Amino acid sequence: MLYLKFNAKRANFKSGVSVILVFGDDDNFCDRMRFYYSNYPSMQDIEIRRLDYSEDTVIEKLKELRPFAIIFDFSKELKNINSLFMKLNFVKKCPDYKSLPIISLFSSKSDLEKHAYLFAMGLNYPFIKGSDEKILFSDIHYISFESETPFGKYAKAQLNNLPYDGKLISNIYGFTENSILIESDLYSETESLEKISLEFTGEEKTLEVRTQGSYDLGITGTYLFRGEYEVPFLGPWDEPTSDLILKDSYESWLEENEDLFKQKLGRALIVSSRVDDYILAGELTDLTQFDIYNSSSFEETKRFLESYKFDLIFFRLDKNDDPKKTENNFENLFRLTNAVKNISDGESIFVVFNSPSRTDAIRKALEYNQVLSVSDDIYKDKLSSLISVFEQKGRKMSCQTYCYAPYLNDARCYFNIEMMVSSITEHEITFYSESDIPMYSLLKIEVPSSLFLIIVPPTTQLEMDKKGNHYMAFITGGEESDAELLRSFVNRAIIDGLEEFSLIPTSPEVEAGEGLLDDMENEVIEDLETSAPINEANERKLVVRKTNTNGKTKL
Amino acid sequence: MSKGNLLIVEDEEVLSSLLQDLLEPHADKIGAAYNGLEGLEAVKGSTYHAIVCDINMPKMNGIEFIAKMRELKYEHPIIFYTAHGNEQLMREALSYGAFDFLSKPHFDNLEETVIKALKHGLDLFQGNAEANEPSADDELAKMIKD
Repeated sequence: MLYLKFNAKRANFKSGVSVILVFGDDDNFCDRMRFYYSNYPSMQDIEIRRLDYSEDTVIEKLKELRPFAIIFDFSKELKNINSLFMKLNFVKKCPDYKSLPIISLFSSKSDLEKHAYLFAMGLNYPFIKGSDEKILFSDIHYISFESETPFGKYAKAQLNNLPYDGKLISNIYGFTENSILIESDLYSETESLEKISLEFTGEEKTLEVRTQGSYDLGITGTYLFRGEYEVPFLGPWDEPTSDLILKDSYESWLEENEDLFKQKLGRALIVSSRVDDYILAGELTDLTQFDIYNSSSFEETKRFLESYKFDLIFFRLDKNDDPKKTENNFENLFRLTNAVKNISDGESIFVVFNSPSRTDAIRKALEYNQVLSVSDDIYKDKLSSLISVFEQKGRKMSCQTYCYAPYLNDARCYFNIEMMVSSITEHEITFYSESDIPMYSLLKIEVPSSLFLIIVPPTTQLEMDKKGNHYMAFITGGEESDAELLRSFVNRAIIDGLEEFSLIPTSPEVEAGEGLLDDMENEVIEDLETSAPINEANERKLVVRKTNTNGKTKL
Repeated sequence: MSKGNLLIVEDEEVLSSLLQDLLEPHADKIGAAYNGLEGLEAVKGSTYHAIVCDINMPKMNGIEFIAKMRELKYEHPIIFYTAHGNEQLMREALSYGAFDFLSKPHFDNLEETVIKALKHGLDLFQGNAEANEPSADDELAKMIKD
């Protein structure tokens, strides 16, 4: 499947300054970050701006300052973070904000674990305070600007494609009586069996689930696909095993958590390029019985219409003196109504906002009767009122009844990814995988300790062969003790070699780390020649995001 | 009660006369222009509350006419009529704010549409247009019921 490459545009970006926003109260951290960047000519135009956290300030400052990255310091409690991430998740669907990395600082691994649900809501990069900040600062630079970055130099163990397991972080979107709806970046063919790890009903289970359907979520979604997977219930004659679920316990779990679910009956799409309308979609999803999607372009809208049937489509005409120069105009509206007629028998109602023309004129010109003209712009009360009319009229809606679970913080879901590791350092790992994993996806690993991998554009040329796609990922989310463990793991791999990816007793010389890392550890190599492209990139106010072999990036 | 003044912009004199005769009972005054340029002059010179306009005309066609009208901030309701095959021009007219479309040669609902446009034009003129518009909620409710 071919995905369009996404270019992150920074149209409102302030000339000459690249802002990174830090929400929290740790001035010292910001000073260290500023000092680090000041050492490199190529990074001197990065402005680190610390702001006190409040849910509203974050969105306001995002719109005002258009930062290249945003950092949340969780070492002090941040209020309403769930609600903020719900909003950010919608904001990041807007093309102008899609490429914004969200980085979080935690005081410890247990603090990270407490907030782990945020990974499924768009958190891109975790960091434990107290571990090596230089790694964080260079990683942030690389992820945010995708340009040459002075990384530390670390001992590297070349491995013979050792089998390894990673867990791709996905999002539980909801439940039906017999299935789980999961948003992820992996496409599953209908009827195919997928191996997933699920943490809910109070326990972690690795399940083999049958795909009932997989739907494209559009090119700007946080996830690529929403799949429906049959819950593998324990049958009356089955032996109780770990890979089956008791129907009774599933049902009672759904019942017990009823407060966390929201039943969705209808489906609506907001077609608008305005970031406020993305935030609005999030708010209305929370307030109404409608599942609400966003789209900004004709192509994306068309893809949505091919995947879903919408009850209501709120189409915001772009304001421009020359209508031909706009994306969301009457010509494209005509093409969309035609698409709906061909795909779903013209059941969707289009409400056209900013419309200078009357309803009757639009119906005749588009030869589509399910259309309504509104001269006002889109605003919250208007949309909720229209949705409420729809809900009250009791028209049969297109969403199957299911429980949408936006606040289900205790449930986790991962797709198991088979990997073959080709190299590892204490900072990065390279591996082959047959799975198509988008750039900047986050994977969880357990060996040598519980850590995260963020897929990044390779910093060096990676060999390609028939073993699958070759990926590079930064290793993150560990404490200093994890870094030590990783270091000794790499040493052991270099000295003794590894037959399998597992923790086995370390030899005394590896424990001592003799001769391997002392000279190399954290030796930062500054390459002034390679720093030039950073300035060029900034002048263009553009980060052209690299994509993986599936043409997809999460940022 | 005022019915409002109507302008007919049509290059074929026979058709223009026919329309004037048909619509005479529904307007206080009917003016005629024979292309878009003349239409603009007419609007500048007299008070009209609605316009019935052909799309295909020499010198300045219906689309150029409405574009120029809107550029000059004239918000008159404009009803276009057109023959089959001009669908793209109709969509173009939407961008500038078309009131309604009628199709040649039958002109179905001509009188009813003109009466509505004149009423809307009078409302616009008196600043009551918004207040007299049906709400989007009501229209949606009606649409769902239908």
